[in-house]
Amino acid sequence: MTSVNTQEFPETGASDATPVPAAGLPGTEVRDPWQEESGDSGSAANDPQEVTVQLDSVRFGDAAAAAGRGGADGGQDASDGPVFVDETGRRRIRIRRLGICVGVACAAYAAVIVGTLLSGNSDAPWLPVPVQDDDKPAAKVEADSPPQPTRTAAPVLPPVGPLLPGPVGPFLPGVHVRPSLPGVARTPVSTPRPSPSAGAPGPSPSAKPGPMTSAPVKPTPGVSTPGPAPGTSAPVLPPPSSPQPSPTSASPSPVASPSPTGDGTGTMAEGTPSPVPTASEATSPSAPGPSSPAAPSPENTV
Amino acid sequence: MASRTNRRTARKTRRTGGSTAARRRRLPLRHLLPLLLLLALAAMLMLRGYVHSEILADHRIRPETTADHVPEKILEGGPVIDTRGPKATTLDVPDHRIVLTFDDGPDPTWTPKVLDVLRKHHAHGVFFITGTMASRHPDLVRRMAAEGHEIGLHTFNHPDLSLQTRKRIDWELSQNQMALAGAVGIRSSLFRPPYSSTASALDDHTWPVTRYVGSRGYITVLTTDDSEDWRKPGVQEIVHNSTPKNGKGAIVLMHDSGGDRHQTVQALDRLLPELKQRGYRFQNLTEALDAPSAHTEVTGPDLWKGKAWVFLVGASDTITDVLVVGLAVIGFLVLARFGLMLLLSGIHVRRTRRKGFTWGPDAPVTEPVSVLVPAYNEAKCIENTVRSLMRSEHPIEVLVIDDGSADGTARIVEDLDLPNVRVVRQLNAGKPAALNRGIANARHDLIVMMDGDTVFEPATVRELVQPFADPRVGAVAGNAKVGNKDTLIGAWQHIEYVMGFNLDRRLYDVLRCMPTIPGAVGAFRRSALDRVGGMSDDTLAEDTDITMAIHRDGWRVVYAEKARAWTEAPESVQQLWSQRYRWSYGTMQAIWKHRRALVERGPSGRFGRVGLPLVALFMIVAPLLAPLFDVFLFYGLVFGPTGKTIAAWFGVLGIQAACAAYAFVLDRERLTPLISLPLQQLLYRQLMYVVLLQSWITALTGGRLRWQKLRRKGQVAAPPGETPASRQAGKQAVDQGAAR
Repeated sequence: MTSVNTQEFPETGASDATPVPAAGLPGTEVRDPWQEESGDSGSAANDPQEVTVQLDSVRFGDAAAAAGRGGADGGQDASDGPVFVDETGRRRIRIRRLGICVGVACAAYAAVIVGTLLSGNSDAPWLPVPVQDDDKPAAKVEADSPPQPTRTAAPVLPPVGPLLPGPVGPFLPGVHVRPSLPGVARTPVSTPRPSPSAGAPGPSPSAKPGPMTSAPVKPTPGVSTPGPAPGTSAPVLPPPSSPQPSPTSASPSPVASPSPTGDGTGTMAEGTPSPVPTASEATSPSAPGPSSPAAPSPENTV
Repeated sequence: MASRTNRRTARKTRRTGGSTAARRRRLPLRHLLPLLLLLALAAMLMLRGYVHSEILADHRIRPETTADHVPEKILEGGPVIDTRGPKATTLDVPDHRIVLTFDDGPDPTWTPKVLDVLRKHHAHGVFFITGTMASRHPDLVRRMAAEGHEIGLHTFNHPDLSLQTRKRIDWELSQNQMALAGAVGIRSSLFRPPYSSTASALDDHTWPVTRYVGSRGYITVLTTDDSEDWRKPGVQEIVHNSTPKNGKGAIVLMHDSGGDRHQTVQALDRLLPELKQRGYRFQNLTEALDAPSAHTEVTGPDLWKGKAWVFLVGASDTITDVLVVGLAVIGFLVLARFGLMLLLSGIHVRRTRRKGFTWGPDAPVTEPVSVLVPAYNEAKCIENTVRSLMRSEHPIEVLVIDDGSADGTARIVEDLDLPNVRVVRQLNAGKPAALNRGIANARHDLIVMMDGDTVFEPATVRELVQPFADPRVGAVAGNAKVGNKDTLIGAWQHIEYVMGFNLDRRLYDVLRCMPTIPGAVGAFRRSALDRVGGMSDDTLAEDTDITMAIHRDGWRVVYAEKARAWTEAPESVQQLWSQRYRWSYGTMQAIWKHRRALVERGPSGRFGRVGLPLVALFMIVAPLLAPLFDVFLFYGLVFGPTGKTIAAWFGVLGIQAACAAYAFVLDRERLTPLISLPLQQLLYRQLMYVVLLQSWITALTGGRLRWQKLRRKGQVAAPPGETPASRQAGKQAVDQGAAR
C-alpha cells in the first residue's frame, strides 16, 4: 500500500486506508498517520487544510481475512454478505409462488363459506304416507298394505329431480299415475284402507285405483317449475286443482329418489339417477296386492 | 438518529418485484397476502361462531297463546301432521308401536351412548338433528343412518320459528339439509319445530309455521309423550313419562344433547326391555307408519356443497384449536416475562445499588476514553451533542466521523473549534464503516459509541466505563432515554424504552445474555472489538451484531443504569416505521448470523443456548403471536362472552401496566406518561406487528433494503427486479478502488 498522504482528495484516487494498529492481528503493517503527524491530540483536526478523506471501508474482518486468520477470533462466522439477502432472486420467486398459492387458498376458503351460506334450498322430498281415516284414530296400516320396499332404498317418489330448474318434469308422475298412491295430502279420500302404504312404490296399485288417482293427477305443469319457485310461492295453498302442491316435488330436491313406481317412471327419470328402487319398484306395479312379497318389512306381519 | 440511507440509492424504493409495473403500483403481494389471510381468518371465525350458535342464534321463545285459528281436528289429532296439501291431515302411530325421538343432537358425549343402547335392544328411533351439531359431528350422523334410525330436521340453530321470517325459516331448513347432505348424503322429509310438544299445544303462532313448513314439503312430527328428560327428574320418572297408556302407539320426546343425559341413557336401558316384553315395537317413524323411508339420497352439486360445508366446519374447528394453543403460548410468554422481569430486575437492582458495590478489582476507572460520534446529516443536532460531551466529567477525546454528509455537519463541528474534538470525513459508507474508521483513529483503549443526535449528561461517560473495572467485561450498555416525550408517539416510545428496553436489559444482564447495546450509548473495550473483527455491515443492526459477537467471544456485557443518554425518538409514523423495520429486520439477521452459537461449546454455546433462544422468543416469537390477543378479543366481543373477554383484556392490560409502573419506579421516572398505555396497547402494538410481518417477508424473499450497502467486491450484483438507481461515479470509483 502506498504511504498515506493526508492531503489527498477522493477525486485524485489516492489515499489509502489507515489500517488499525490492531494488536494481535498478524500481517498488518500499516502506519497510523495520526500518530505520525502529531504526537498529541487535537491539533491536526483543527487545520482546515487538513481534511482527511478516508475512502475505503476499514474492516477488521477484511484485513484479517486477507491475513488468513484462523480461529483466532473465537470462531466467528465468516461474513459473506448481508444476511438474508439473496442476490439471485431465486428464493424470492419460490416464496412468491408459495404466497400466491396461500392467497388463492384463502380467497377460495372465504368464497366457499359465503357461497354455501347463501345458497341452498329448503324443500323436502316428497314422502308418501298412508292415509289414515279420521274416524279411526289409530292408524291402521295393516298387513294389507303392501310391504314397503326396503327402507334403505330410496323412498319412492321422489320428487323432483335435480335442483336445477329445468327438468323437473312432472315430478311425481308416478304419483298420479299410480292410482294407489295415496298422497295423503291430497285427498281425503279416505280409503279405508290402507291404500297401501303409500309410499311403497307400487304396492297394490291396482287396489285402489279410483279415488286416488283423481286427486293426484296432474300436476305437473305447475309443478315442474324449478324448485324454488314453487316452493316459495304460497305455501300451502296451491289451488286444489293443481296437482300436488308444488312443494314437494317441484322442489329441487336433488334427491335421487326413485322412481316412482311403476308408470310414469319415465318422467321421473330425468330427475334422478335413482337406481334405486329396487326390487320393489319393479314389482310394485305388478304387484297386486298386499301380499306382495317384496320387501316386506317385518312389521308388516302383524 | 437520521437514517443512514445512502442518498444515491435512496430513490429506489423497496419493491417486491411484482410481475408487472401496474401491479407494483396497486397492491403488492406482501400487502395483499396478509389481507387475504386476514379475510380467511375472519370468515373462519364467523363460520365458527355460526356453527357454535354464537352468532345468528336466536334464543327467544314465544309464550303460548290462544289456539282459535287452529283446526279442531289438528288439535285433537295425531302427532304427525301433514300440511303439505291444501287440507291438513294428521296421522297416528299404530298401536303397540313406539317411536322414540331424540332432539337437538348429535352430541359427542351422549349420542354414542344412546346409539349403543338402541342397538343393544334392537330398537330404531328418530333423531331430529340441528344443523350446527350435525356440521360438527358428521360421523355420528352417519352412524345414526347406518344403524337404521331415521333422521329428521330440527332447524340449524334452534330458533323459535314463530318469531322468524319466512326467509329465515327457509334458511334454517336449507342449511340443515345441507349439513345433513354433507354428513350422510341424504335429505330428509321429516321436521320437528324447536320448542314444540304435542299437537294439542299448537297455537295461533306455531300453526302457521307448521303450515308453511308443510308447504315446503315436510311432515311435521310432534309428540304424544314427553319424557321431560331435559329436566333430569330421575330415571324412574322418565320411564314413567315415556310409557304410553293402554297399548296405544306413541311418539316419545327425548333429548340426546344439551346437557347431562345420563338419565336418559339409563332410562332407555330400562324402558326398552320392559316395553318390549309388553309387546311394543320400537321403530322409526316411517317404519311405524308403514311408509317409505324419509331419507332421500342426494347427488350432484348439492352433495358436494354439503361435503364442502362439513369440511369447512371441520377445518375451522381445527384452525381455531391451533389458534387457541397459540394464544395459550403467548399468554404464557407474557406472564413468564412479567415474572422474570420482576424477579431478575429486582436482583439486578439490589446488586448494583447496594452500599459498597464496586464493579471490579480495578475500580474506579479513570483512564481516558475515546468517544465516537458517527454522523450523517446531523447538522441540527451535532452541536448539542458535541457540547454535551464537552461537559463530561471524565477525560475523553471526541472523534466525529462524518459519513459523507451533504449538509455541512463536519464543517459545523470544525467551526466549533473545540479541544479534544477531531473530525474525520469519509465518503458515505454506512454507520458500521464509520465506526470502524473511528476505532482505527481512536487513541484510547476504552471506546464509547453514540449517535449524532444523542445528548449525554456530564456523568454519562464516567458511569458508562466504570464496569470495565472488571477485566471480564467487554462491553457496557447505557440507559437510553427518549428526550422528546411530549407527543403521543414520543410518549409511547418513552414507555417502550423504559419498560421494554431498559427493564429487559436488567433481566438480560442477570442472565448474562444481553442482546443489544444501544447504538446511542454503549462502551466497548478495544481489545474485545479487535478480537471480534470490529463492526460489520452484514446486518442492519450492527449494534446487536457486535454485542452478540462479543458475547460469543466470552466477554461479559453489563448494563450501567446510571449512564443516561437522551436520544431523539422518531416523531412521525413514517420515521418510526423505518426505524423499527431496520431494528426488526436487523435483529433477525443478527440472530440468524450467530445461529451457530446454539451448538458451540464454551461461552459461545452458553450464549447460544440461553441468550439466543430468549431473544428469539421475546423479540420475535412473542410479537409474532401477539395479534392473537387482538383476534380473540375481536371474536370474544362479537361472538362470545363479551363480558369475560373485556375482563380478560383488562387483565392483560393490568399486567402490562404493573410491569410498566415497576420499570418506571426503578428508573425513578414519573408515572404520568403511563396514561397513554391503554392506547398504546390498542394501536402501537399493531403497528409493530405489521413491521415485524414485513420484515419477515423481506427476510424470506431475500430482497435488499435500501439501507443495505452493496458489498465492495468490485462486482455489481443487482438482484432481478430490484435495479438500484444509478450510482454515481464517485461510488463506482470507490468500488474499483477497493477491488485491488
